[in-house]
Amino acid sequence: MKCLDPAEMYSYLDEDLTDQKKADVENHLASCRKCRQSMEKKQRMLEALKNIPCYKTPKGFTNQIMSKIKPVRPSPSDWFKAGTAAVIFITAVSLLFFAFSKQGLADFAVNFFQSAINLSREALVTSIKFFKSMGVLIHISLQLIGLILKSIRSVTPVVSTEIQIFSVLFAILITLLVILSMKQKYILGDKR
Amino acid sequence: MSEDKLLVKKTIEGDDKSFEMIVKKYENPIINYIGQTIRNYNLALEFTQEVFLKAYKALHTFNPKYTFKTWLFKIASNHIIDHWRKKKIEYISIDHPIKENENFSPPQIESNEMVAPKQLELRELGIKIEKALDLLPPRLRELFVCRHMNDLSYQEIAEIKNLPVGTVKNRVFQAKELLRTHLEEKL
Repeated sequence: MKCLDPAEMYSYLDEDLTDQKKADVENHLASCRKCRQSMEKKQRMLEALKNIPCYKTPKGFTNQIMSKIKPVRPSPSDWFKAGTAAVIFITAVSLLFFAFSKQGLADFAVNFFQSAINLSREALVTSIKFFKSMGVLIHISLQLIGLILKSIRSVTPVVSTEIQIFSVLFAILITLLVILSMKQKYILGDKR
Repeated sequence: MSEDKLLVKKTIEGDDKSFEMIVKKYENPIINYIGQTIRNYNLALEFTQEVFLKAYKALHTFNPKYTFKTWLFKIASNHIIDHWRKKKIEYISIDHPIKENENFSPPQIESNEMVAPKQLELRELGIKIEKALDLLPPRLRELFVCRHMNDLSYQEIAEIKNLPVGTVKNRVFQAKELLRTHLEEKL
């Protein structure tokens, strides 16, 4: 067997050889002093690598990172603390309110519920108005689509209605995709 | 689900303690990877912080199909490449003469007291190798550091660097041969 090449030696040291190849290398090493010496040098170098001092973070590094992360998003425990503080604050203000106002607790409760009922009624009326206007909006949109289809049909009388509808849907899809990709690139900062 | 992936999931759900555990687990491997590659402790410290902050913000984009370790190292690798681009460090060929790094700041070395002679000899050789790392082209040094100083497998390095495994093996081999040639008389 001819002498081992350096790549073979490193593969052997890396235990990156097949059993057969490994056995061949070991057989050769047993009989070739030159390769044995060369292998020993490489082994020493790799062994010495384990003694290279490592770069390490200083004490308190984790806390430093965590303190920079905390303002980004409050944790569940922060929400709990904020919630508790809010409840305490509202209770304290309510107590002060009743202590200094002439209004009794029962009167306050009646007024409060009346206001709540009025507010719900208002909300119901507003939502009905909203749905009505949504209906009008849908009606206008359908008429607009019809108009577009009519105009397309007048321009391209040969094309069937199905193809026209498909074309419009395809255009909408492309527009949505463009908007989504722009969002990915400019809003989320994707650099791919 | 692996421990890392579970920690990532919990962090996304709002449990910052889990992210703290991730930082504790990976802060030293990441600073060692960056530090040994760019050869500057203060910058490595700054970059390590930025890597974790970047990772935290991008955690929702982590694909559990891959390992978290390679994902994190990939962020660090991109950070190093950005740094080289800013410094206009070219990805020079291996036979190009290389200047010594002026900003090199070595990591802290423990005292040599109470160390067996063979161990001491290896430690001294280790320090020589560490200095010789400066002579490697940055690209080769980075892969060498990943393999031999961070114990990443060739497969993991290939995933981090988006390179074929064969290319990674070849470059690590080139780095080892360059180091060995430089240290020939000291071995």
